[in-house]
Amino acid sequence: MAFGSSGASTSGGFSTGAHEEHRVMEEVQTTLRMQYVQEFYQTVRDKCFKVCVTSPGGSLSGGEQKCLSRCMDRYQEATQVVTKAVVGMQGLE
Amino acid sequence: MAQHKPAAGPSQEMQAFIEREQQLAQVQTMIATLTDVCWDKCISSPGSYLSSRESSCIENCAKRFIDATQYILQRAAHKAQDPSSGF
Repeated sequence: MAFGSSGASTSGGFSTGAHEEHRVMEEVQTTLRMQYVQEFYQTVRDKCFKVCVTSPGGSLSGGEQKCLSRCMDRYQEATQVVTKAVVGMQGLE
Repeated sequence: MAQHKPAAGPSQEMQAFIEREQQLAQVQTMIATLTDVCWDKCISSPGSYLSSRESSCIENCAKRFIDATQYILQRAAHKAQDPSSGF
């Protein structure tokens, strides 16, 4: 199947789909990032509600709000610690 | 010579993109699972900063969870080869 003409004819042309593909990739990426952030904060909410709101009263107290803020920040930190640990381990393999 | 064009499918760039995103998602899921498990093990009440004790607990927990995963997988593979194991 080695025809002399095969190389030159098609290689240069950008297919009309390339533009469309880029758009799709960007859209998919945005959706995935949003999904990740959403899932992350859902986990944070579950974890922190459990830790901070042990006996729910008539409203979210100042103390509970402070605890939630602290908990959010700590969970983010914990995620960073885990990320570092995992990345460090993968480097060893 | 009727079928000149290659079958219309995802471009190489698209395939690379999908692969990259799949890998990223896998790593993200693993990190989320590890954080979930180790948070429960290491943090009883979140303070105004992550203490060095909590931090090293989380680090050890994450690493040992990975070790445990590998250990169990290895043992499972071993068992799979042994017909008397019941699997």
